Parts: sequence; C-alpha cells; structure tokens
Amino acid sequence: MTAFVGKLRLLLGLRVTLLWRRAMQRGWLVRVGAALAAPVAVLFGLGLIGATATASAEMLPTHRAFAAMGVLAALHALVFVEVVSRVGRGEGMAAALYPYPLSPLLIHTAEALGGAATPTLATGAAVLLGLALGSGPVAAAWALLAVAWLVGVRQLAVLGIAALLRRRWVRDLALALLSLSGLLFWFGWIWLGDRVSVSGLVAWLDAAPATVWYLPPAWFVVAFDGVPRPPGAAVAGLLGAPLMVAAAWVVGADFQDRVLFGEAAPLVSGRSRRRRGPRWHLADRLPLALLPPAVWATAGKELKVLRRDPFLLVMLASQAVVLIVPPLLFGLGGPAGRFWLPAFVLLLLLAEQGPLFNTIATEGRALRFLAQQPTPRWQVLLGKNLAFYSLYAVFDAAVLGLACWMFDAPDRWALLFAATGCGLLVVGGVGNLVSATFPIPWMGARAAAGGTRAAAAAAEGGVEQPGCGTAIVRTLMGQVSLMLAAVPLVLLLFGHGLLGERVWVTALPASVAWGVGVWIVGTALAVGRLDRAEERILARLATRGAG
Amino acid sequence: MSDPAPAIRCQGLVKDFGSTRAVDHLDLEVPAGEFYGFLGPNGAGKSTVIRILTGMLRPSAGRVEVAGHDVVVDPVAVKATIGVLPEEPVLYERLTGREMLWYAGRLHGLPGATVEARLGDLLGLMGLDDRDADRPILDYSMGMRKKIGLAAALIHRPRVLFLDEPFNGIDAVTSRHIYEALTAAVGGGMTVFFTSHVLEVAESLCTRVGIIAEGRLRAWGTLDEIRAAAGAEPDTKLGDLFVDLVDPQTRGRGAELLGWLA
Repeated sequence: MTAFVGKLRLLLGLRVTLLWRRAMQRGWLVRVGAALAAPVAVLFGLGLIGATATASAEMLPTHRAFAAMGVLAALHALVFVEVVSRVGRGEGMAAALYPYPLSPLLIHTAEALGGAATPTLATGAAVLLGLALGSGPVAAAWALLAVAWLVGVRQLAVLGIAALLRRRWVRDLALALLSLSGLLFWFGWIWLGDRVSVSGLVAWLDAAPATVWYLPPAWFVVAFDGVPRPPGAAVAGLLGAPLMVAAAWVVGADFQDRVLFGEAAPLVSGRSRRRRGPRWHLADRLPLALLPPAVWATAGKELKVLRRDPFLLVMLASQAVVLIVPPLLFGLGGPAGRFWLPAFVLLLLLAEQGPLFNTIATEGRALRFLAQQPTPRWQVLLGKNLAFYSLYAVFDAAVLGLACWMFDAPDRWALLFAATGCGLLVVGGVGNLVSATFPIPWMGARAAAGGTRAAAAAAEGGVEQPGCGTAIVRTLMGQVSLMLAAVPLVLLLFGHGLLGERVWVTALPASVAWGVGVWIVGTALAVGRLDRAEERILARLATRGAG
Repeated sequence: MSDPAPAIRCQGLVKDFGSTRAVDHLDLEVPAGEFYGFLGPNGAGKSTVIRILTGMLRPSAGRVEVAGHDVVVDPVAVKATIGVLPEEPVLYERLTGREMLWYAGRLHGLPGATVEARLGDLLGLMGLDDRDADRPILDYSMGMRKKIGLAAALIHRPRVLFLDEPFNGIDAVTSRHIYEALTAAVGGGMTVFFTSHVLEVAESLCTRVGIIAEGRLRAWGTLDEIRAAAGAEPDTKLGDLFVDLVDPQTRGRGAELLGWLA
C-alpha cells in the first residue's frame, strides 16, 4: 500500500510538472494565470462549498436530497459532454507509463485522478459536498463516494468513448450531434424558462413516489438526514453506492489494459473499401482538363482533408442551427421571416469566412512542402478555393432551402443561392489575400482533430506568433469582404424587384463578373505576398531543430 | 535451443489482429548473456513479438516467459527486470533529458541517490553534456531522443534489454560507445534482444540471430549454424543469407521492377 501511494504521488507529481511546463512555455498572460490558478481555484472551491452548505442548511431534507441527486445527474451529463468534446486530444499518460513496472490499477488511478481535475468536475464536487455538509459531516463523507464514482466513471467514459469513436464517421457524427444537442439544449432552456416555475417543480418533486429512493442516484444521498425513505432503500444505498464505486474503478483498470493492448476493437466495425477496376481520371477529361492538373490535385487533396476533419461537420451543423433556430424561436417564423433572409445570406457568408481566410500559410510543414513544388501559386489557391466552393455550394443549397421553406419563401431560393455563390467568390478572393498577408495559426479545429501531433506540427512550423494588430486587421478585412460580398446580393434583390425574371440575364452576369473580378485581384495580390511569406517561413524553419 | 535458464522463452506464440495472423506459432529461446539479433523484413512480426515480450501486447495463444516470469501472468515483474527502447521512444516532451531519466529511475523504484549517480554516467556514455541534458526533449533531434530513450532503458540495470532499431539516428562515435557498453553488459550476464535492418551491425554484434518472416521463425542460431543449415559458404554475408531465406524470388530484380526509371 505504501509503495502504491508513493508511486501514485510520483505519477501525479509528474502530471503536475508537465502541466506546469506547458503553461510556462506559453505567453506571460498564461504564465501568470497558471501561477494564480491553483490558489484561486482552492479559494473558489472553499467559498463554493461554504455558500452551498449555508443554503443547504436552510432547505427541507427532501429538497436537499433531491438537489444533490439533480446535481449528480447534471454532472454525469456535463462530464460526458466534456469527455466527448476532448476526444482525440491525446490519450493521457497511460501509454507512456506501460513500459514501467506499474500495475494497471496504479496507472488507472493516476490517470483518473489527474484527468478529473477539470473545472466541471471540481465545481460539481464542491456543490455536492456543500449540499451534503448542510446535512452533516457523515453525509459529506458519504458524498465523497459520489465524487469517487464520478471520477471513476469519467475515466471509464474517456476510455470507452475513445474506443467507440475510433471510427472516424462515428466520431464525426457524435461530435456533430453533441454540438447540435448543446445548442438545442441552450435554446430549449431559454424556451422552458418561460413555462416552468420553481414552485411547480418543487410540488412535483414533493409528490414523487417512495420508489425513487431505491434508484441508484438516491444511493449516494443515503446518509442525508430526515429524508422519508423506506428502510429497504437505506440498505440498498449502503450496499449499492460502495459497490458501484468499486466496480467503476476495477472495470476501468481492466478496460485501460484492453485499450492499451489494442484489444478494445472499435465497437462499430467499418468496411474496408477496395478500389475495383481502373480509376477514371476525371481531371484529365474535358472540360476539367482546361484547367491545369495541379488545380484539381490541390482541390482533391483539400477535399480529402476537409472530409477527414471531424470538426468541419460540427462547424457546418452548428452554423445551420445558429442561423435557423433563433429566428424561429423568437417569432420570426412564417412570412415575417422573408425579411430575415437577406441578412441570413450575409450571416452565412460571415460564418464561412473562417476557413476561407485561412486557405494557406497556416501550417509550416505544409508550406515547406509547397515550397518544394514548382506549381504556380495561383493554381494552388484556385484549387483550394474550388474545394471550399464545392463544399459550401452543397451546404448553402441545403441550408438556404431549409430557411426558405421555414420562412415561407421558396421562390427566393435560386436568387439567394446565386447571391451566396457570388459572395463566396468575393470572400475567397479577399481570403486568399488575407491568409497570405496576415496569417494566423488556425489552431482550433484541425489541431484538435489531429490531437497533439497536429498541434505540435503547427507550433513547430506555422506562422510567426501574430500580435493583436493582425487580429484587428483580419477583422477589418472580414468586414470589407462582407461589404464587397453584399454587392451581388443587393444587385440581385433590387434587380429582381425592378426587372423580374430578366434579372438572370442582367444582374446575375454582372454579379458573377464582380465576384470573379474581386477574386482575380485578391488572388493576384496574394500570390506576390505568398512568395515573400514562403521565404520567411522557410528561413524560420531552417533555423529550427537541435543539432 | 535448450538452456536451463533462458532469458526469453516463447512456446507456440500466436498473435492475431482480427483476421490477420501477425505471429504464427513462434517457438523461441534466448539463453541469458546473449546478444541476440531478431531480424526480419518490414511487417514480418518483429515489433509485435517485442511488444508481447515486453508486456505491451497480450498474445492470442502460447506461453511467453522473460527472465523467468510469465508475461501474461505477471507483467509487472517482467517490466521490473527488462529495459525497452522502442523504435520511436515514448518520452515526455516537456521534461528535460535529465528529468526524464530521473523519473524513469524513480518509476523503477530506485532510490534518489542511485538515480543521481547513474544519471551522470549514462549522460556521459550518450555524449550528452549538461547543456543538452537540461534542455526540454521537445528540442531534441531524433538521435538525442534515442540516446535518452536508451539511457532510460538502462538506468535500472535490466537483466534483459530490448532494443528496436537502436542505432537509427545515432552518430558513429556514440554508437561505438554504446556497442562497447552493451558488449560489456552482455559479458556481465545481461541479455540484449535487438532488431535492426542494418544487417552489418547485426553480423558484427550478435552472438546469435533469429530470422522471422510472415510471423514464423525461418532460421535461428549462431551465424555459422545458419550458414550450415542453409547450405551456404562459410564466408557468406548475413545480408545474402537473409534475402535467400526471406524472399529469394525477388533477389536481383530491383532494376527489372523499375524498368521505366532507366
């Protein structure tokens, strides 16, 4: 036991050292924040426990128990969301510890305790302890079992979800659903706030049947005083809670073994796709052959990268929900929504700016590879833009279709789709210039998708750390691109009002010409900038590395 | 193939990954105090075998013992007596080389004073001065990572040392120092089990070799025994023997396969 505790202390110390080092290698703001984080967190936790305990002491015993059960249930959901959202960001320290003579239970314990120091779990545990303290020290000690259960079950979820989500499409789907459910929950919460009262909820809980106290969540509040539970329920709690905790930790240690040994095969099997017969080289045939093969090669590569980026689906789905749900929720559904649609197009373009403003110069290694190729840079930029355009064309068509249907304006779909397409040309052209002139490391989605390796790769090469001026200029350029992209929208909408169906042979060609013109100017400027950026980044990369 | 106290013993070792059989009924015995070269082409099953022997993978069937301990029954005891240098060492990037070695020693249960004493010797052997040792591993080159990985595998004085492509990326001077240190350690009773694609290195270092292909051991023993078993001349190079044993059909066909390049 002493050896177990000694090595556990060593492992936790190692984890703290690594976290500290990571913080110390960041900017001064992060360093100061990290130095203050621990004492502030402790003070905040103690304050939270005290405040909750004071409030809990004023509660009726039954309400106190229900509140603790509610917190416990909510914590399960929050922990699950947190675990899923962190999938792919490294697998903890377990893999690196397996070569050492440490038992799986020891490694699992260190992993579970180290990984559990999250704001979600720490705050939830403080509230739970505070609620229990209102009922006395015995209840608080028993509530620690609930915390141990949560820590164990969190680690089990980390391992299980990582194994389950090893299949890319399942992971994409889960992240998309999670993102959607989070947004819908938020909107639903606002909606429910107007309809459910606290007194009504309390009356509903007071009328709950006695069988509630036999359920597992009630086992963790079995030491709460004054709760009118049947005697059998108390016995079930006294036996059930410790058993659940022990099961979570033992099963977790075994599961960790399986995961590390590669025996936790993906729970959802995938089919291996085999190409049959010769490939049909589409890009070598007319009319695609009119463009150089490098354009299509770049577009194909970019589409593959986008397809393998789980966050892309999340981003697109979230944008659709954010754009469509609030107007409906707040009474813009029906014919009134017709007036919302032009703004909807601009918001759609705004949401799509992010990737288009990072078409190139975001990853040092990618740029180093590019520098070795003789391909004219305009072909690369065009290829990348084409990939985004084709993806966004499908997405915009679907989202605009949905919006037009919801807002009773199906006749507007073609017009708005054309305006969005022309607007995308504009945003792409400005985006090429911005990404080559004011590059920032786009660490969000792709770095997270690729886990630590991608983050390290981006940190290793990438662009120089931009100052806040870069962010300001990029924001301004974003507004400029939006204003330029509004031109086709205005042309088409006013053109339709003035010319009717003739808009398709007058305003549409003008809008396309505007979009193509802005793209050509933006891209021409970007190519010149890119040559200089390549030289700068290559010079930086050449000085890196240890001899 | 028989020794009363072998350092490594596998009997009927099988490892399946789904429908793929990576190791197929492998029988292997490595006597203690040997410098054993475990050779094979890419995908032959070498790394899988090493991972099983070091307790990093569970066999599908068969019995595996290392230093007298069953790897499946008592993996912690096995790990306490072995040192492992994988092809890509798993190191904590944000620690310095010195700190990494300190943690490695402490995780093996060594007292702090012992770790400190061995740490200096190992850093010296690897040619890492104080400046290198106190830099974060994040800034290390591939060769330096290998050196720290090897030092971490040696710090607890293992009885059996597993090395997967140990000399990749390590300079000639350091390689020479490591050869000498390992040879001395083998003389003192340590067993070294190593894989390499550089067959000249294996030929000059190993007292015995085993050649694996498609999960099966094709040849084993001293070089002379293997030459004799293959009916080869006494001065046949290991490289030629290897190709003849592993893939005799493609020997000399490189130019033919890439005819368009000429």
